[in-house]
Amino acid sequence: MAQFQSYNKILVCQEDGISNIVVNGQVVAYELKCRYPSYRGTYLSCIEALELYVDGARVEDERISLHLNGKIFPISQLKELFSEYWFILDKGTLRIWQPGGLAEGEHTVEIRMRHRIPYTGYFGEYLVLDSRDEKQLEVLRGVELDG
Amino acid sequence: MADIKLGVTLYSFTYEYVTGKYSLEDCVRKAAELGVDGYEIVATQMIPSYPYISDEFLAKVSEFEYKYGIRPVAYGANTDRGKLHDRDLNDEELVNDTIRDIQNAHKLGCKVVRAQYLLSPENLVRIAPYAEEYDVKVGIEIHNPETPSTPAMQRYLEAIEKSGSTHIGFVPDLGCFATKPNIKNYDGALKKGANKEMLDYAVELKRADVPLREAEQRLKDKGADPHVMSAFYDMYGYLTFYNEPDLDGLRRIMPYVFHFHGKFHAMRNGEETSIPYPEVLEAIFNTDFSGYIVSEYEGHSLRADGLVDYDAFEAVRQHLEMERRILAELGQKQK
Repeated sequence: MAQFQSYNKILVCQEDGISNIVVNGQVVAYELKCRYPSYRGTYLSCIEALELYVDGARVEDERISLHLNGKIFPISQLKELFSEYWFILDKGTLRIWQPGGLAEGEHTVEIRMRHRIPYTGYFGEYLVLDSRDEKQLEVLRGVELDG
Repeated sequence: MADIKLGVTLYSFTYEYVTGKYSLEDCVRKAAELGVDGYEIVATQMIPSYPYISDEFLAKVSEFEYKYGIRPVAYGANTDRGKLHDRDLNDEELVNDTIRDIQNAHKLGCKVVRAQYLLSPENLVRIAPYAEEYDVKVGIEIHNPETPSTPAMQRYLEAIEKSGSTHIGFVPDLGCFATKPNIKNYDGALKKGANKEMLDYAVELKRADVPLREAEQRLKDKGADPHVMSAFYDMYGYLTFYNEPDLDGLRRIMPYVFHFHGKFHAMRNGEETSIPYPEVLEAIFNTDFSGYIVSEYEGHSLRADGLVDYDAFEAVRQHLEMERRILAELGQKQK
C-alpha cells in the first residue's frame, strides 16, 4: 500500500507558514495550510479524523475550521460532506481561534489524518489509512490578515 | 492484425505532479515529447472541478492540444463506492456517478472510460444504454490479482455477452500478466533488510500456488521477518505474479477489450522486469483490437528508494521504445 502512504509529506504546508489573524486591532486566531496526502483528491466525507497538534499539544476540534472550495467547515462536519471534493493540488486553510494567536518564531505543527480510500473494499472493508506529518512552521511577520 | 496506438497516462507523472515539479501543462507537454498519439487522464487526480468538468478546464485541454498536438483519449474513472461514512453507495448512486463520468469523458472527447470493479456486472449493464448514447465505451479494469480468467472477471464477461452491448467491456492492466516478483516488492524488501532465503521461500510458495493462509502460516513458522511478510502479502495481492501469463483468457475477452493500461514498474536493459511484454504484445497484435495501450508507470517511489536511477519521463521513454521495438518486430514477421 506504499502508493497510498508516499504523499504524507504534503499534509502540512511548510512554505506557507502560520499567519496571525487580526480583527479590530486584536489577534483573534491563526491559520496554516494543509493538503490531502495522496496521489488523487477525495471527498471530505472520506476524512474520518483530522487532528492538529501545535508544539506537542492537541488543539481541540471545536476551535478549528477548515476553509476549502470557498466555504468554511467545522471538523465535526467533514464526514457528512460527500459533495465537497478536495482537489489534490488545492491547499485547505485551517483556522484556529485563539486570542493572541501564536508567538513569533517557529512552531512544531503536526497533522494526523485518518482517511478512507473509497474505491477499495472488494470484500466490504475499505482501506483506512492513518497519515501524519510534522513540520516546523514559522509565524510570518507582516502578513497579519484582517478578517 | 491489430491497430495499436501508443499513449501515456498522465498518472505516470504522479510524483512530479503532486510535488509541484510538473503542472498539468508540463505533463501534457512531456507526453507529447514522447511522440505518443494521445493521453489518458485520471479524473480524480487532475481535474480541479471534479467530479464535474468546467469550461475553463475544457479550454485548457484545447489550448494544450493546439500547443502540443495531443488530446485525452481515455478517462480514468474511480468507482468510489465508499465515499459515504455510514453506508455504501446504492446501485442508483453508483449508476448516476458512472453516467456523470461518461458525460465528462464525452466533453473531453474521450472514447473510453476505465471503471473499477466496485461497479458490479449488473450496474455495468445498467449504464450500457448511456454509454451507447454518448458513444463512450466503458471498460472494467482488470488489475492484479485478477486476470481475464478469474471468476470475478468471468462474471463481467457473462453479463457483457448477455447484454449484447458493444459499449461495455474491459480495460486490462498489463500488470495482470506479470510472471516475476515485482522489483519494488522483491528488491525493495531486500533493501529494507528482508532475509533473502526467506523471501525466496515466499516466492516459491506463490509459484507453487500454496493458498494464502497456509503459505502465511508456513512463513510465520519459519520465523519470517516483517519485511518478508509485507512483500509476501503484496505477492498474493496487487503485485502478484503467475507462472504463466493468462493469455488464453485475454484472447477470450478481446472482442470486449477497448483499451489497455501498459503497466510497468521498472525497465532494465530495454525490458520490463516482471511483465513479459513480447508475449503479451504478440497476443494483442494477433487480434482485431483497435485502440490504445497507454504506458502507466507505477514505479514512482523506486528512485527515492534507490532502486532505479531514472525519472518517470525516462522510464516512460524506455517503455515506449520497448513497445515500438516489439511491435516493429511483429510487423516484420507479418510480412
